[in-house]
Amino acid sequence: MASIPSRASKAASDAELIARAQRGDEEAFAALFEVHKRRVYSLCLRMTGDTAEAEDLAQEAFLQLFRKIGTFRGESAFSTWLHRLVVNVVLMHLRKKGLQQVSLDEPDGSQDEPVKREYGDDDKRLLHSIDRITLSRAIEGLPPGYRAVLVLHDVEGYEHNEIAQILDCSVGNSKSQLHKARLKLRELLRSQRLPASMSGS
Amino acid sequence: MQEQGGNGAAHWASAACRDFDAQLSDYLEGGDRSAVAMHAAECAFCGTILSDLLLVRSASTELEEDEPPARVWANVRATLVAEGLIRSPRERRRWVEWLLSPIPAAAVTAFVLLSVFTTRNLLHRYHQLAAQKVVRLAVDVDPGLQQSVSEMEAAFRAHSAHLNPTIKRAYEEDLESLNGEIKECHDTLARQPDDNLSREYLVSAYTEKARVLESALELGDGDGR
Ligand SMILES: [Zn+2]
Repeated sequence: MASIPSRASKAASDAELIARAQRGDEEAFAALFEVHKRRVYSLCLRMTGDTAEAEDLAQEAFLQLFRKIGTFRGESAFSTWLHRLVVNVVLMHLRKKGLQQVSLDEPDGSQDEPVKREYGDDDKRLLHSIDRITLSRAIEGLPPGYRAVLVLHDVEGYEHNEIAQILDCSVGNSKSQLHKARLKLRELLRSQRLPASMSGS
Repeated sequence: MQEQGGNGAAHWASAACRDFDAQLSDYLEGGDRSAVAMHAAECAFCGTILSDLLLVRSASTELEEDEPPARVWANVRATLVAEGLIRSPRERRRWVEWLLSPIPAAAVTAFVLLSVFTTRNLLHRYHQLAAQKVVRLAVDVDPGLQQSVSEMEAAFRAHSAHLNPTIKRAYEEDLESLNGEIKECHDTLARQPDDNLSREYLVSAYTEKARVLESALELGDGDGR
């Protein structure tokens, strides 16, 4: 409940900035960029796993947004509109790069491999806490298809039905890919942690 | 992996472990799979998987956002300027200077003709008056320009109900501040008719007001399409 007034006032300030940007006001463009830059850039970075690509894509997304800003009529929340646009820009880019894995209904063989379950050598709880750098690096190490679903669901908070729509796959597929992505992420975190713990013992 | 000896950590999946695997995804998605929690409590290996995945999920949810390098905005800004989407105050001043400077009649004619094709009647009239003003190099604000702006303002007031309330308010605030500026210039000029700077500010304020109204009317027009 507490978040409702702040969300409403944020929407109001977005609308004011949009109106001013529609009139060519530089400060309004700069303020809109300022408010949304971190989420946009982070989304690009997590989806691509590459800072240079993320910069280019964030730039492209903001340019597309600002070119279309005259057509924004406030039917949906501005941030929803923006983030959908960013996701589209990133996915378009990934598909152009030939990463068919992004399309979850045509998974490539390597992604369907069951994630290895290693019994026997480590039954201790692996992870007590995960620092953000380690986690970011591990997410960057995921195959693109897994990464897309995990970022959209766990990081960005999209629902499976939305992801299914965005990635043009079934809801069941989104769920199963998410589960595999989490298991793979755990495996990556385990392998990142291993050298340190081995040298300690 | 090969079986390990020694400390009893060696573990092969039992039937219960395989059920756990099959139901784990649903359980994490909030499905009612009490068998998963029960097995996790009994089986150290599966318990570890569950706690790890819960941690991975919550850490991902709480992942902080990164700051883009400053060059991202610099590039975006440069492109917006190049494409004319950003109109800097300097550019607006230049536009006013252009309005005040003598230009060939042919250019004025072209400008007026262009207006005929590209703007609605009211906007068209404003451009025409602005262009006439350039030719005459009048020191005073053209009464026609004033009248045109006040007609545009009336049209805006009549149609502003259709605008998004927040956008409408933003326009109203802009107009209010410009009206304040205009009033101040008029007051100064009433006291000091020779104050050319105030006269210039006045023309600039009217021009800016016309621009704001033009944008508001175009927006209202766009909504109706
Ligand atoms: Zn088990």
